[in-house]
Amino acid sequence: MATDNLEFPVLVPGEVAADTAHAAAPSAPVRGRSQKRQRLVSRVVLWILLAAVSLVMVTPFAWMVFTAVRSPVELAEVNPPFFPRTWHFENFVRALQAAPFHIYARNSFIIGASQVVTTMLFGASAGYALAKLRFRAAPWIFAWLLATMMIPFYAIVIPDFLLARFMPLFGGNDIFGQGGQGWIDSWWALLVPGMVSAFSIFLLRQFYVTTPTELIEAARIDGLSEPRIWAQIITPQIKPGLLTVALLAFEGGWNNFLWPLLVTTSENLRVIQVGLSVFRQESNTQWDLLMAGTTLSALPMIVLFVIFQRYFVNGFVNSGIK
Amino acid sequence: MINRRQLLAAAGIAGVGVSAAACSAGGAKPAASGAKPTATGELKGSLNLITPEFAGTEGKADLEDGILKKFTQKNPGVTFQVDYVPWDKLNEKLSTQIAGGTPSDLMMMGMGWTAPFAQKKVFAPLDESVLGDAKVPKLLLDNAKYNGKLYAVPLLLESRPFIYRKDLLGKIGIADPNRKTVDEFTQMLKEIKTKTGKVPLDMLASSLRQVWGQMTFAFGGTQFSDDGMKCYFNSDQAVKALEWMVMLQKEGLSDVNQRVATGQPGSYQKGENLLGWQSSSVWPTFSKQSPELIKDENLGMVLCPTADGSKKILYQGGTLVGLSTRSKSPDAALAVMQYMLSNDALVAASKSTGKVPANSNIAKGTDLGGNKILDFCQQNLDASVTDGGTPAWMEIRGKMDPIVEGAVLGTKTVKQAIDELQKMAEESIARVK
Repeated sequence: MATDNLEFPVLVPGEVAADTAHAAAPSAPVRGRSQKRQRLVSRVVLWILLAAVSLVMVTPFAWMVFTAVRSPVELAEVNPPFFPRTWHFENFVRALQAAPFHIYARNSFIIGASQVVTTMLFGASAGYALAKLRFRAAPWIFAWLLATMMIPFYAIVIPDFLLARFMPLFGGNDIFGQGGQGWIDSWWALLVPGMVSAFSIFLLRQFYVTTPTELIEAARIDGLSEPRIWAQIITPQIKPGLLTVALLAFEGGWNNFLWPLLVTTSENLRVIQVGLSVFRQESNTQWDLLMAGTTLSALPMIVLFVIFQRYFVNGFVNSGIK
Repeated sequence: MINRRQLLAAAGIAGVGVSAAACSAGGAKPAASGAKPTATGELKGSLNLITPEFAGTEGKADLEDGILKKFTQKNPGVTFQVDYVPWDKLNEKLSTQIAGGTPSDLMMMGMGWTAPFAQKKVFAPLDESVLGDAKVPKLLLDNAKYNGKLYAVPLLLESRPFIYRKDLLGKIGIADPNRKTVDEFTQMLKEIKTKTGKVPLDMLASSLRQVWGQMTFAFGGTQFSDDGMKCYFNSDQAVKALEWMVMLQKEGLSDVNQRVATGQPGSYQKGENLLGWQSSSVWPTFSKQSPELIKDENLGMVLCPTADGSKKILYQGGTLVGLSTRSKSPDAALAVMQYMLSNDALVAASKSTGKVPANSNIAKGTDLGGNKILDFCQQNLDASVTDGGTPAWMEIRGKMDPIVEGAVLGTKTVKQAIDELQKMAEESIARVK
């Protein structure tokens, strides 16, 4: 890490701040050499540690890509080589031909994109209200939202399904939710339940809490309405939070598997994760094709993360979650 | 500790109960004595079919453009909406559909699932005339019954014979590993172990629940009473079956620790064993990855012997189809069931899925896709056995493996494991009474 040219010195772990070093040093040349050596050792240790952690994190992804291009014979080997002996890129084509992935990818993208928009809109407005607007029920509502995060999805999937199934005036249902199939096998069931999440409200509330209330008060004195204060004054202050929530919302929509499987029957409404299950049969998994499909389905998320990683990490750090 | 599958199953069971109560409110009502296919009149209706088979573009084409199209050509008034669901999420999908009161007209599911769904009145009783000319092995038909009535039709089977390496066994002087009794089979395994030093049999690395199920039959027992409300896990035969499995592990004749992740090459495929308890569906994998294993000179197949030597047995997993009590077109649905059990439809389904047709009427030599393990199993359907047979099976089956594994690995005694299994099963059955 090159810190020498920076206007403000940046400390790395193991470095000693200049003012602290002054108090303890015996003599200038010895102290200088010792500090340089310490700094070098710390950096080497840090780089080795980071490289090792990165390797651990990257290896499964590398293995996924390499498995995607292996031959069937190599897949059956007891100790296959890390790098494939022959690269079978046609596995990607075979994987794409095994199911209508263009439909599945389109649907997953629509779900992910719509969840980004709705989660940012509803999550930000609810988060702002809980953080900055004074009303008696705020702590109770916040506690209730936190409590809902502690209930696993599997425990509420059937009640959720029943809500979608008996939705009045949809899918042939009457006003009492009878007679038809409600939202089942429709875009409504795919989109509406994921429009906002308790976690996104919680995350954005944490960001809004850190913004200066004085700005809001000044805007009120200047005569701005509450929605304009939220949209034009305060929300622009929490861009890292918005990006974090957007990425998580897209990831949630893109990777959603069980809910779309349960509420759809038409192939035109199936999503990419359901499509990948084609390669896992009862007693036979086509690892080459499964990994090829998984590699392709992971690409959008990897690209988004690479572009927005700085904001994403900052988002978690600033919200106090990390 | 409850896992998420059990959590959903519990919620599903509650939902199914509610739905079952609501079933009387709507949908067609097939006769209580059993729904019969009617030959007269034009069939009409839009049928929903849920299936864990025929996944992917090719499978979909095989089913919809092949098998079902032949039916709709003769019955143009019938249309299909097919819902493809992977096996590992089928229970969740069926449970939510049923809880929501929107079960598919025709539901494909696994062996042993019939009684739980029939008991909840999700499946309509069927008249045995739905079988048409098909000859389904009695024990498989019994597994599709509840309280003496037929509720589902077995279609495709995943059979588990013993397959063996002719070449390797030949080298140690064993030309034919077919043995009359379990004891003789065990002696042969010991002989192989002595001569080669290898673990002879790849069996305990499979689902231990299924191994125990098969061996309970091999020792002359059964797992449940005819009505499924009594459990015989603590019968002498079931105890002997578990003791046999423990002995296999202790003597190094088979090894739980050879288990691999799904899809990874198993120890038989890797050449570590000379015999394997393998499914007919390993054929496509072997043909791609280890073609030398399926050459005639290397591959042999035998059935499992029984303790008294009176017969041979063949474990069957499989896919059945049931008719929803809420189907609005039961006549059309019944006609489809009967058609799917016909030779033509089953042969096509078998070629597409690599599974054994559950109809022993299919003539020897019929082309089933060149899978020799499948052909062998097809010719031995009369030896079929399978586990399950209680309305509480969906809950019981998920809890069996860890307990049986505890006994096999020696972390608990056979008696402790048997007591635990019996108690668990009795409690599960009590909940569905």
